[in-house]
Amino acid sequence: MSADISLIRNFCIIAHIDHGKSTLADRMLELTGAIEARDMSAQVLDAMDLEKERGITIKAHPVSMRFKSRDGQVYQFNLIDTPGHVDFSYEVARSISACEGALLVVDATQGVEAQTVANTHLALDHNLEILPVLNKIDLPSSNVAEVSQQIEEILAIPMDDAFQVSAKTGAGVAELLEAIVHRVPAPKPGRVGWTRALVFDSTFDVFRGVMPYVRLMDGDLRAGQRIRMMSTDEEYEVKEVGQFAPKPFAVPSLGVGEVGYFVATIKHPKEVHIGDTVTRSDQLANEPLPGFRRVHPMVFCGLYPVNSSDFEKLKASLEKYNLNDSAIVFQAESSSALGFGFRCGFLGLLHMEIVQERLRREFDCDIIATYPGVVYRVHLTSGEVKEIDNPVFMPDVTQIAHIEEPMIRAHVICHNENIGDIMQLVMDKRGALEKTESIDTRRVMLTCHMPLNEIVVDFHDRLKSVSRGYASMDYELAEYQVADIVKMDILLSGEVVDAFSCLVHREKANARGRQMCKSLSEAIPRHQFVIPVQAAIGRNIIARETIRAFRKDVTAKCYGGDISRKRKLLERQKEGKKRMKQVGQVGIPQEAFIQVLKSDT
Amino acid sequence: MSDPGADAVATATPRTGPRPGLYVHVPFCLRKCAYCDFASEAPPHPDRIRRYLACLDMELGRLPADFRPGTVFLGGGTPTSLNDEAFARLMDLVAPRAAGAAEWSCEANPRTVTAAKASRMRAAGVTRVSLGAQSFDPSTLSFLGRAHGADDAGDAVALLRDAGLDNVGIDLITAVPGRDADALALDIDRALALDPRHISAYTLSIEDGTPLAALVDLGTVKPVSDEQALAEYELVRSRLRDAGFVHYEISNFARPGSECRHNLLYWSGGEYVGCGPAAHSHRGGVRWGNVQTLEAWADVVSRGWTPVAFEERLTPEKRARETLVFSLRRLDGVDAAAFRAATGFDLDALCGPEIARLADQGLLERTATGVRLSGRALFISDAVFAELV
Ligand SMILES: Nc1nc2c(ncn2[C@@H]2O[C@H](COP(=O)(O)OP(=O)(O)OP(=O)(O)O)[C@@H](O)[C@H]2O)c(=O)[nH]1
Ligand code: SF4
Ligand SMILES: [Mg+2]
Repeated sequence: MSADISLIRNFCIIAHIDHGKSTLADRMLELTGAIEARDMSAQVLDAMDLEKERGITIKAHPVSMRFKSRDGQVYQFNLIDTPGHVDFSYEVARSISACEGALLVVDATQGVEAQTVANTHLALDHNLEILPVLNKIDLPSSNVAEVSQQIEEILAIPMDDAFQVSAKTGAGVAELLEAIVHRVPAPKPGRVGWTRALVFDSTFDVFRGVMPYVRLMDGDLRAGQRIRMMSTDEEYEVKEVGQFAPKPFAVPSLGVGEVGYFVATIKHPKEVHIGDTVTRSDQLANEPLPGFRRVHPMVFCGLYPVNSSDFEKLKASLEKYNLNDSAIVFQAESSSALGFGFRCGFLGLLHMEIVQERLRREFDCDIIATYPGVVYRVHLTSGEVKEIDNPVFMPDVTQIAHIEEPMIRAHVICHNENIGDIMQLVMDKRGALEKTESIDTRRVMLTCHMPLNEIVVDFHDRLKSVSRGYASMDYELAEYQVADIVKMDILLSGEVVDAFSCLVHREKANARGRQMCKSLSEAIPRHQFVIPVQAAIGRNIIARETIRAFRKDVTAKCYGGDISRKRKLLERQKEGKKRMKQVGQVGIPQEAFIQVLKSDT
Repeated sequence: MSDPGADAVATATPRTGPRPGLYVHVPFCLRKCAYCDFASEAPPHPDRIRRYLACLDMELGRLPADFRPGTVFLGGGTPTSLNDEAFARLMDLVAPRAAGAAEWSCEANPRTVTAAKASRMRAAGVTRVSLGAQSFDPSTLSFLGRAHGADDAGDAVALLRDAGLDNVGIDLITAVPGRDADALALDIDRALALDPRHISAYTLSIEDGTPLAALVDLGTVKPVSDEQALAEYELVRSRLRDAGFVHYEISNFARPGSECRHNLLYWSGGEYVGCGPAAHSHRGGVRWGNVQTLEAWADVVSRGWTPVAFEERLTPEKRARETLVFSLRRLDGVDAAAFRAATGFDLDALCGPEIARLADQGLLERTATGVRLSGRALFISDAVFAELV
């Protein structure tokens, strides 16, 4: 497009989860005519089935619009809708680097919440112009005055020129669009003679290969040019450049300040790095763009193909998937129970769940996940320190001097009446309250110091349930701290199934062991033989359940020669069995691997 | 509508092996049993019976002239729930088709056997009658919602014998909630006292959509535990073996030589053609099923079309696996040579490793000529079949 740079506005929409970002984007797309009425659906940018089903945004979604301002000019708006959940804040961080402005949406019925604070800080760190937008003013429970005051006090954002909209009815959105022209700065012209584009995301298209998403900081890109990836020095030829509407569409060129994608002769997903700088072979830049701070995965688990022969397929899928989600890390490993697979790191539990689900759906991978854990620092008697993210590699107790576990600092915003329950929950999770600040007359922000391991499995769900959905949480990694951590094994028919091994605090081991044995004994179907399910620390059995043998699985009568129906039932039974992971003689269904996570200890 | 039935019946080249069977479904009962999910309506309405017989006439009439079944089976529903006159008409319709059959079975409800029906069966050529006694205990019968009393079976057997129908089989039901093992033992004794040549003992299964299932869902009825169901099964096995019966199929026992040949066709991958609503057929490599309801079936048949609701043609491997698992229902198991002749597959090439594993687990036994279920696998046979299908 190579538009006049003064007519380009790049901005993202940031907010706490469910405050209405995607719905606001809908109205903007409608008002600018970017999407025709017949193609419109609620949260149209949430294109993934998974996003639609769960009603949440998982990926940042860029989209370009043309907006005719009252000043008579037509502007190019490049909007990026971002996710609100804490696990996906890396998506927000990358989107911010492609923008000059941010619409900070705050639900006027809810007020400032944990991600409102966290995402505002991200935007301020990047010097983005912030436009505060109070949303859901159509609801009678909205409280514009009080929420405005919160924003001023907690975020120090002046609210004199705040916007009041209803993303649902569209009220106030036209004014907001007009204000974007005046308040979001146009991109800087960039350096003449250089071309630099920041790769802030990418996808893989089966027909076109890797499609990096870029923001042009200097120069321009068009088909036919030779480009170079600055981190690898590999060169490619550009085949196509384009923008999003929200589906990709080709344009003749991408100019400085613009946001779009390109397709080049890139063969392998591994050749593209998110945060890399693309430069032109004929306009080489000396210096890459800052890129992104590396994110550190906090939660680890093993991912294994259900069918051992699908290892290569899982590998290829993870590589392609990684392009669209650069926050995951993975490394090949093996398990005696599950064969060959990968140890993967995730930003949080929802992230872990979403990655697994996307691998299943988008890449048709039948996978099972092992018990998630965190990275421990194990100090050996020899003085050596090992980082352990897989219980299988835990050194023998006799070699261990002590173990340190990662701590987090969590900020929980909740209603006054829930403080007691939430403090109880924090204490159950071996945490301590550090600070209490009031947000307004009804709400407080609790700052707590807790072991990361304790929030990995079900903290978020329990927080939601004790607060009837109202509490919100954000957390950051704090320091490591010495803790009495033990390795707990699960045995089926007397054999350790390494996939279920986990590292737990000694005080929690009994309860966790009982819980795991119970869930497993419910999730593993009866076999032709009795299966003892045991939890053990070393040789010490701490919990036990028994799966009784089944006695009856018979079709008494095949009525009137209806063999087909019966055969189909047997075939289904066989299919069900095939989807189980065979460990020794015991078939473990995929649900069992999920079921063990649903502990209530 | 495609016409696999007529097609297969007309063009199938006669194959070696047993002659095909003919199944006729009679979709009426005196009243609906509490556990029943079979295609039948109750009580029989004269107009519906008339329509049924008229359409059955047409459907039978469309069988190829040279279709000569080796076995015939009249089932349902309850064929004898028709009154004497309608029953006579049913016999008249089926008899020409049954001519030359080595075995002709008819299912009967103990209360609905009359002298007239018995002599009519005998005259038409029925060779064995399968009596749905289920139990001889009044409270069990009423729990099951059966339309007959405890003594009706004895009376029915007498009437049948009087008419010269000696080959009588009795159906019993096991795993009935609320009935204890002693009551079952008594039922077995009373069945044996009637000197049947064949006994089918079916484990009660609780099928979705039946009144019994509703009671279970409500918690009013507690299904029999798997352990008790197995104990009852073992009780039946040992009692009948002691009485000189051969246990020849998972749920079937017979005096030597009195096995139901028609049912053996089902288990051995044999061919049969079914007439009447919800009847199933297997011929010329095609399996098909008739439409379920009487109205739909009658409507289609009276227009001169074939009442096929579904059909399937299996790949040779699927067919072979199907033959394998259904043949394993027979206690003498599968003969490897016969299996190869019938399916073209070598047993070990098809599923050697699975057979070896199941044999290791004590669920299958190698015999001199093939393989069979072990005694302890009988009651968990679906789990075994699911490995092989
Ligand atoms: N009444 C009312 N409901 C709204 C408004 N804006 C959004 N909603 C509703 O709020 C819910 C969340 O809206 P989304 O647009 O998906 O929120 P989001 O901020 O994109 O959420 P995440 O992407 O998951 O962080 C949906 O049910 C919307 O219909 C509004 O102005 N008024
Ligand atoms: S007699 Fe048989 S077919 Fe008829 S209702 Fe009872 S169980 Fe069903
Ligand atoms: Mg959204």
